Amino acid sequence: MRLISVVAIVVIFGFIFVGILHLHPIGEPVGNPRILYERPPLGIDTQGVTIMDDYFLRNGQVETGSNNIVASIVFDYRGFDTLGEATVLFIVVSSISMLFFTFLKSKSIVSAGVPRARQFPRIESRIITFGAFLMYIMILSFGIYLVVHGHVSPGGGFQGGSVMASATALLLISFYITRHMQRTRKIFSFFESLGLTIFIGMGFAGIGISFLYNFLAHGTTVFGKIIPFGPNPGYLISAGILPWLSLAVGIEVFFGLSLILVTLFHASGVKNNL
Amino acid sequence: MIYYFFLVISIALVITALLSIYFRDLLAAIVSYAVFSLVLTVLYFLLDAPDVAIAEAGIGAALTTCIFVIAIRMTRRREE
Amino acid sequence: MSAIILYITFVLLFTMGLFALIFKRNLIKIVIALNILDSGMNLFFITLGYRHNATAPIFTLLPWDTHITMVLPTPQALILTNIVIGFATTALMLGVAILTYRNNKTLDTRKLRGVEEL
Repeated sequence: MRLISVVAIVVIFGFIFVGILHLHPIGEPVGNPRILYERPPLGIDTQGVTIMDDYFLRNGQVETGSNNIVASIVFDYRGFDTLGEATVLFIVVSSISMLFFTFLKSKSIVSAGVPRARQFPRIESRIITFGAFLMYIMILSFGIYLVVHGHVSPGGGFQGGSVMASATALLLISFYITRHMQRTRKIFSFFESLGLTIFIGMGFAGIGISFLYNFLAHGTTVFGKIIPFGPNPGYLISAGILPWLSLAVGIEVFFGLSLILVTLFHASGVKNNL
Repeated sequence: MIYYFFLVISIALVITALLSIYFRDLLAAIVSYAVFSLVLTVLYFLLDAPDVAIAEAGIGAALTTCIFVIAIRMTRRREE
Repeated sequence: MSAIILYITFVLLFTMGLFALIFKRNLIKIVIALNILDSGMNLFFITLGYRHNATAPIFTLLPWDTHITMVLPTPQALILTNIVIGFATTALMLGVAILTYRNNKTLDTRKLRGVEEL
């Protein structure tokens, strides 16, 4: 049996290795490297476009009003795909809550369950709690910055949400919170559902033309600043519904990942003899 | 020039991945995996993907380590 | 060599992950192996979109001249979502591993209840 496994791994290794020899060399992908040249400042222009990425690079900024082409793909061109990903995240968080349901309903949670000697070193040091609190504020501010400026600079809902969730992890392990877990999980699950609901609601708001249509871009007074092609210092009131979708995904990712952390941390305090 | 950076970072990636598979102590394996993620973040930044670098730094280095440590705390530390 | 260096890294990471996935018995080690395999795939996709002497696909405060090029943005957008989903599925796998440990008092896949009868 081990022999068969080794042979299978070697065969797969050989296939992939022969496969990569036929790929393009690193740094020279398909597509037109001169795709940004001689672009008129406004309007859709498909001159020299051969592949999909060329179209996004040449038209993404003018069409969606977002300086960050990756964000414009995630939330505008492939917005339906992002809705699917957000749904997958929601389902996974629900499954984890369901898996640990009997754990969290049991009455045997005694000071996070573990005997006092085996716990993490009790954090009563002022230095650690105060430093963790300062770091918490800074990480949370950075995450909010990433979410809000998702269409201007590197960032967006997924990155900002995960950074903010790491702030939650810091708070959990430094303060060793064991109280009010049930209420915390209720609040977190409410906000997670709220994020997904905002996303779907913004999708249905433009249903007159199509689902997830970017109806706020191109000249409306809210978030509709028309951006000509080329570098600019970055405008917050641009890109239509893209900042709203980014905010919704940021809320959902932050509270969803925090809910995973809080659930597992809470369940780790239950006694072994269930 | 940048290919030398790629070479060094690739060697670091392979070594940390091997360590995280090799260690019998699961806590050491997970710390190796965190280092692996951090090195991968640098590589993403060199590959001109700042968005992916931020996400990998937040998820791979911080959250994955935290959740693995919680899981080890609930099970056992040595791989038998 | 310099043209395929990161592809070779991907192949090594993928094979290591597959090897550990098959031959390791500890459930948490299997989850680590899946994570390494996942990271290798992410690296492969980002490498496919890399373009030499290019900038990131962001126009804000870009040093503009007439010879500017950008890397391909679509692989980055795909991998961005994949990382978050990968963490969520990792958490789900760990939850199943924890419940397995609670029920069987072991993490070894050969010592689980019902394995002998197969």
